[in-house]
Amino acid sequence: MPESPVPPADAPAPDGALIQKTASLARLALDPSEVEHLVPQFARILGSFETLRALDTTGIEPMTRPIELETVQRADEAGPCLDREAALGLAPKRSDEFYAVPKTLEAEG
Amino acid sequence: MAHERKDAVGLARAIAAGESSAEAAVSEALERARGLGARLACFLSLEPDGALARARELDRARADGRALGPLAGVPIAIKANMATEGFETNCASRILAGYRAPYTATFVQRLVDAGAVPIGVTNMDEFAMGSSGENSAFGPAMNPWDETRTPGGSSSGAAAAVAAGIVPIALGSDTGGSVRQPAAFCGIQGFKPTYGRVSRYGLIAFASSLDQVSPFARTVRDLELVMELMSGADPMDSSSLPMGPMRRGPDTVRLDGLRIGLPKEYLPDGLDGRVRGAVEAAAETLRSLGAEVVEVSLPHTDAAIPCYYVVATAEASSNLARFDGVRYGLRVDGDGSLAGMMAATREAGFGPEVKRRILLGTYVLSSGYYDAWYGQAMKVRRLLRRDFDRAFESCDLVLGPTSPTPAFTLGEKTADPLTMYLNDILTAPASLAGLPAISVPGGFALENGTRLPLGLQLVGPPLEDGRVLHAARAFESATSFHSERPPLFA
Amino acid sequence: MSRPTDDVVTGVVSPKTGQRWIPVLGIEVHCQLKTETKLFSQAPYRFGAEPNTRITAVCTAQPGTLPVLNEAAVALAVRAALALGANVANWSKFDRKNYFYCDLPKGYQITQFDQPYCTGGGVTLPSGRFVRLTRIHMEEDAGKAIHDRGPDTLVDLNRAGVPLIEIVSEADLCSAQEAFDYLTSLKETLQFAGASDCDMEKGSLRCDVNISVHRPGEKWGTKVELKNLNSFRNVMAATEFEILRQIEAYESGDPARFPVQETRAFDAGSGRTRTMRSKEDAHDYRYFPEPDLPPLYLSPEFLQAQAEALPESAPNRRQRYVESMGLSEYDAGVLTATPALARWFEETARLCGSPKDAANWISNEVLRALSDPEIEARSLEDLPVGPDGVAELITLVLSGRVNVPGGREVLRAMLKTGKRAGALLSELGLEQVNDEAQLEAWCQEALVGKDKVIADVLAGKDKAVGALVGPVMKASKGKANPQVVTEILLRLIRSGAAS
Ligand SMILES: [Mg+2]
Ligand SMILES: [Zn+2]
Repeated sequence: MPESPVPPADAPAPDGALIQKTASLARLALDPSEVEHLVPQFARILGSFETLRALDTTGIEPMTRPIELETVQRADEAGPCLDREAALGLAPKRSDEFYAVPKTLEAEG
Repeated sequence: MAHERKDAVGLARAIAAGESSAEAAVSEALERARGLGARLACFLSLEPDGALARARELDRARADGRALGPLAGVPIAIKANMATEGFETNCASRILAGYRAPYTATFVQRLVDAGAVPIGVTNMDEFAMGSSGENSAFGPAMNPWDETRTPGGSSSGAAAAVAAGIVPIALGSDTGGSVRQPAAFCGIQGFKPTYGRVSRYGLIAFASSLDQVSPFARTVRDLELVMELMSGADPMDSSSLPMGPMRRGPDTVRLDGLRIGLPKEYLPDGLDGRVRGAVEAAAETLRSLGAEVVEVSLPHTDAAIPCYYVVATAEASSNLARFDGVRYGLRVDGDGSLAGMMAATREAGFGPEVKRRILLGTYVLSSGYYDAWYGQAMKVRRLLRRDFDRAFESCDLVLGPTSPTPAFTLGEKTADPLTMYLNDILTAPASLAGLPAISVPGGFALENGTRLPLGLQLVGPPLEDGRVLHAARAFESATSFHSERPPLFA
Repeated sequence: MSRPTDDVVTGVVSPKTGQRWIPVLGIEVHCQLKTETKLFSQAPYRFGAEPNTRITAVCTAQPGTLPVLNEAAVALAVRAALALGANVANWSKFDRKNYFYCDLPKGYQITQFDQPYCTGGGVTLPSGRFVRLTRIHMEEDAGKAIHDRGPDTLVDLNRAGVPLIEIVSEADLCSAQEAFDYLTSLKETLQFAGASDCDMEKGSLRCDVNISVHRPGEKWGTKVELKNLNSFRNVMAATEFEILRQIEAYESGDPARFPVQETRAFDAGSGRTRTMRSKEDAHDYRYFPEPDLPPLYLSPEFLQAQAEALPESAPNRRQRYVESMGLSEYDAGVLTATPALARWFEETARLCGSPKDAANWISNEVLRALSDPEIEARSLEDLPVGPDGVAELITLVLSGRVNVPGGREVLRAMLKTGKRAGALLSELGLEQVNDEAQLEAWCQEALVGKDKVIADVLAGKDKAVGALVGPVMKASKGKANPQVVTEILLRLIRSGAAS
């Protein structure tokens, strides 16, 4: 994570375009009336959150989780697999022994 | 006989002694769930066949002289975000409607192994996002003390079910107060353990670094029993603490030498006088039990709400990415492309508050905003934890209100999300810091002629779950708020 | 130890303008670790298993499930790092890389972003040049999306969650040949460390190449990423094509044609690279620390133990074969083609006591058998005979119980049937004949009418007798000891017993 020591003090609240862009990143097909609602809500919520950004956190280590642990590791031993019929039975669409989704061409990631 | 006045410990004893049976206890719970429970919209689904079969099995085991677990025959309720194989685990969301979990959560299994009988799945705010239960896709639950009011949230149905005497124990999940606040609104006990005490395997994640499975009960001894049975390291959860089950505190109900800290930030000038009065009275009660009351300070309390909402929504935006219409749950085809299908599914499947939080979380993590929001929130989170560490240098537990107000009316805060968020001001800090905290019944407030419960919160240092519960038990022994019943109960 | 300066690099001469251009290449390799189960779930992965049969609640991202790290994956990742001379961090952490795709069940990949478990290290090319590694990190694989079967895209989640290490090189490489050499050396190192099979056909090794070109001394050009490179040969071909494509684009002088930062796929059929379909939205992976996994701590004791458990590298083995076993450089190279072969050879050598003979029999006979259509086995593991069987045969040859041609026949029979050498020897009647009287009789017969040979021998040309060894061997049905036959023939001629 590229880090700047001091967060920008006056980042504007997201406008409609930024809400749309964020929604697309989050895979939410918002309709225009929703976006219209969200713009002032975001402004109000983020505006009230300025107390967070106003705090001086110079030299403070980020706290990712409440308890400092080291991760546990498990033995490399196989466990039971899901029954294929049961797993595919949960899916909204399957095709033979596969999950089926609308045709897409190239992988992401 | 009526079981509803018994707590889980009392009920299990009666069943073990042959004064009652598991079948009778479970049937009665199911009956109340269908009656009172339906009226209050506590449950999203009941599992009568499995529950009764399990109860009869336990009765046969008893008749055969086999050893019974400490919760044998006790009906319990499971929140809709907890995986119980075969139960509809839909998180009160359209996106998961009809989803039956293909496995069972560790913490559910541990209670079932102790003889508890899950009877059904309780209502909640969708994906545990809310403080009133009103974000349920299937309609809100109601407060047994006043059906025009919220039972609190997000574990709305669970709290209402325990307060209405349907089950003695219900499991909730507490991310920023989702068990403590409804416990306060419903006049029952609700305990959030130290983060990592109880395995999260099987708890559908809202905010991974905050979520803790948290039980509701009407007595503290029930909470202690449930915690002993449910807590302890789980090899399926890397964030579970590498230690055995919680150990309860001493049997005595004296608190000699215990220092109770009253943070001045939790009792601001504008605080509801009835709430302040309850805290002051509680401090007096604790003093009478031998405790010493001192003033402490938690100076970053003001930043807790923004910090909580940034951390929680960031994690949620990622945790809820799996609901994409591919492997389970709803699918809406959209424009026929893969991305379009996913976006249409999520748009149709999630309610407005869930979408709002996913957007907020996506925004605070996105390129260009990360440092200012998520990065900053993680640092402020440490400041909040340090506040507690410093306070615990001069006290053993922190006392304050659980919520700034008693239960509000349904619809009162739905128009403005921020007003709803501010309701978590007193519970979010302990969540961010990962600390054990309980809400105990601490009094009543009269509102338009209706008595509404008030909750008090005790917060302990990390891993001092036993101490928190012990103090709550002592307080319970010296007061009678917990034994009062909602009027519709009688 | 860094990228050579532009005046040292040969570069590529533009076929059009004759100008010299400097290619700059960096490679990212994804390599599957050889574990029984996945990185975070207990599903046992097998390449080629029935679709969606190697899945659990965890790797299908059933709501409520959580990851738990596989210790064997960690150990293998560490061995790979140590074999590459890299630094392994005592503390590292996992992060989430968020994006949506049908083969990514959780909607994020668990990977390591800003604190990988490993930094530095490198690969020495056959030319002696050292290519630096930037980092290595652990991450989980995605499932497989199949686009060419029916109207839908089909998803198989067997591969989802398989442990990978991503090995990122510095942009130290200067040519397609170097890219090829780098990958070859890297593969050998990872295979000999026991970390991975590195089988590109099974997808256990995958690579992406970043390419730019510039004129000597000028600043580097725009970087293009090549994907879909499913063999080392394709890496070479794609890289060569792309270098020339970029040179030509710059030399056109038309900025509209200049390379842009993009991902291109290689089409092996046409030998060309092409722009991959651009995604709906610009990528913003929103990396953040994985809250479900506390940091990974690797103790100095653990790292020490992994270093001690690290199998010997291929170059070390080659050196040892030549210096202390007396093998030729060539044989040493052949026998270290794969770790399995090297282990096979070493075991055989130990059991028969003669590394040179073991080397000859394995490189000449055993390896040939793997491409023999009459023998089913296509890999050492498939052979019905192990090093102990071959060692037994070598011992029989060395002790004179069977001659070399007979031994070959026995070995072929062994490889076909799995029977022991001793049993086959008598079954096939190939026991070497050492009985002097019988051998002499066959020699006498062979000498009949061979006056020219006799005269040559008597005139001092001992070699001429070779022409008679064949007929004697034939008469003995191959069972005679050819050395003894030669001696007897010479004795008979010299003593005048031949007529
Ligand atoms: Mg990469
Ligand atoms: Zn990668």
